[in-house]
Amino acid sequence: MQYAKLTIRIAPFLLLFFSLLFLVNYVFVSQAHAVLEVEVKGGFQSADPIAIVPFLWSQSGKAPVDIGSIVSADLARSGVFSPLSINQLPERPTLEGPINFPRWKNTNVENLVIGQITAIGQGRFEIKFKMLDIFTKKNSIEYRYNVEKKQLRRVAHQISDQIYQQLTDTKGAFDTLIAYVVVNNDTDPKKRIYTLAVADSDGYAEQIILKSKKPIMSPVWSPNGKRLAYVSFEKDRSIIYMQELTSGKRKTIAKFKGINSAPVWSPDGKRLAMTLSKDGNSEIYVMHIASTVLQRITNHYSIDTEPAWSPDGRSLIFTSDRAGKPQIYQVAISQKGRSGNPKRLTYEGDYNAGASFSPDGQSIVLITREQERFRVGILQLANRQLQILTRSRLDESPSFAANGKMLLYATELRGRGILEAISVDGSHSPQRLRVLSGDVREPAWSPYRGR
Amino acid sequence: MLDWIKDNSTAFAIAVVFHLLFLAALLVNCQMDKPDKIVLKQGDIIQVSAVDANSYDAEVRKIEQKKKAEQRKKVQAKRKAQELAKKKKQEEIRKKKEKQGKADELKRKKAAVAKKKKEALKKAEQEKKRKKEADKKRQPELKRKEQRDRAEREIVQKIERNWRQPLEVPSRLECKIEIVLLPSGNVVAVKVVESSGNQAFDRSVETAVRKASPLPVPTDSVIFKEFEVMRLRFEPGSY
Repeated sequence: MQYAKLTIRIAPFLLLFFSLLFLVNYVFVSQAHAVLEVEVKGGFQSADPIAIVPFLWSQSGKAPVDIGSIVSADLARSGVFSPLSINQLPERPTLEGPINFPRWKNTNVENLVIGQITAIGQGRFEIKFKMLDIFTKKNSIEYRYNVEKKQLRRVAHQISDQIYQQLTDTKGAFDTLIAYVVVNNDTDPKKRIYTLAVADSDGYAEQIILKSKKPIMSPVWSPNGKRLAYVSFEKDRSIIYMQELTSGKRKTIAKFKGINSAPVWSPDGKRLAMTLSKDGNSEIYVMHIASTVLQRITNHYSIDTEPAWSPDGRSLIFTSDRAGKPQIYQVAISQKGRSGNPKRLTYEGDYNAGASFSPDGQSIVLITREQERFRVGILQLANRQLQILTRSRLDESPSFAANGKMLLYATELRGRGILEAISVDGSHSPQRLRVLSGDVREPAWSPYRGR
Repeated sequence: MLDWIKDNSTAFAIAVVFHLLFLAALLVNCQMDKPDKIVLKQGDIIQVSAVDANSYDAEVRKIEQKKKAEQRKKVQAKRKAQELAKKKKQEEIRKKKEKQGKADELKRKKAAVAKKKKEALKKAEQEKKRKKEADKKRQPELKRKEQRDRAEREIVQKIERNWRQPLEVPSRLECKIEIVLLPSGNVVAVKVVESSGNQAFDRSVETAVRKASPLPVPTDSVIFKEFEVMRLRFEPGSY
């Protein structure tokens, strides 16, 4: 009883105490938890400012390959990055050394790449690099390679890919190859030499695949990147060949009567689409490589040529002048051949040709005529919008990078063919690839390389 | 009012504490009444013991008590008669008063209505006065609001100036982050609360805030409290 009375007497005090606590808490806590919410709109879009410090070489002589400048050039060519030039670097930190972050903050650069290359004997080299976020001061990527001298350039492109992927969330396509045809500039047709060559994506490390006194045309990559198909006139008529890159082994694919041209691999690598005139005029055919069985896809008195596969392998697009002027058409394809009637895709302008699909199948790149100039354009298939990317006079053979972010094409500079690359959104001006001697034509960008 | 409480939180807390202490003291006083009653009971017991002490002339007392009891009975009888008479008189008076009361009530009611009207007028005047005083008090509050808004604007502008968005990013992205600031304006923590789904875009937002650090936070330490933790919603503008 006494206890009960006591509790009854204490109750009001307890009540008071807790209500007091609650009040005090309410006042303070409500202040602490009133999180301010603010909207940030605007900002600006620009290339990513990045600093690539020249890779440290602490042995005698010069480094066999300047990896830093290859990486810098790769990133700049993509248009997505604007690397700081070497004379703008506030300092040259090393992998283990300290970094003066306040100085870097003044450069407006967001990421810093530091690396070193060391000869480790027996013709091998060790390459180490890391990338830091200048504002968090944390390493975002760190890699080490151990390679032979001849692989150093490739390592540089792989480093570019790592940086590109880390900062854009998209796989890089620097560690890829390009194939193209070069003609020497001899005015005497009898002295002309045609060369089919393969090089790194920046135009360096050129390897010759075929040399001929007669034209070579339309090189194209197999989906696994191990073979090339092309057209050669070495026997004074057009013949389609397939050649393995490592062994140089060659196989004749098509030497029918008339034209044999424009070969292109199906995405599964088992078929080749091509243009043949064996049945009268230029028509599109599909050949099953293993059985050499041919399927005729088009049948029209006009010219049908330049086939290209959709990424799902279920349709072909091609150029046809069945409506009077060259335009792009699409036709459905099954294992048995054509499975529908061709549908016209392009209506803008009086000349659209040489189309190919983007890797995601959402758009096609083509050559379109605008004010008597032939330019690279991208047609969005969803809304049929055509965007013209270049301002040049005579562009040809546009080809997508494996990641679909860039295009490679040939264009003309003072009467000479050169190669240029441009980002698909046209957000920066075309980047000229290394100027090779001779007249460069018909580039083809390889798929991703196996490692 | 709520703002006043927030701004003067400690003063308010102290006021509340004193108020409640006062209430508590009042409650304690109420309890004091109960011990008084206990004292009275103890007194009774003392009286009893006194009777026991004088037991030797109990007989004398008994006689006296008997006499007293007789006297008391007589007195009680008289009292009862008197009380009856009084009650009768009182009832008569009451009846008279009731008649008068009804008339008075009418008067009183009229007076009350008049009073209420007067009071209402007074209250209105008082409220006017109060409002004027409140406005005077609010002026520093307005200044604070101004300071707060300006800081907010300047912070957003500084971040926007530093917000470089990646080129190859789809439009229509949105990202929400929470940042923690020091009174110096230095950003000490950035946390993505709602991701845009695109890492490059999210990173651009984080970098923008870190690049903009130190942010122009208000110098007033009370206002700064509101900026200590901020949520920022990023949405690219049109370009």
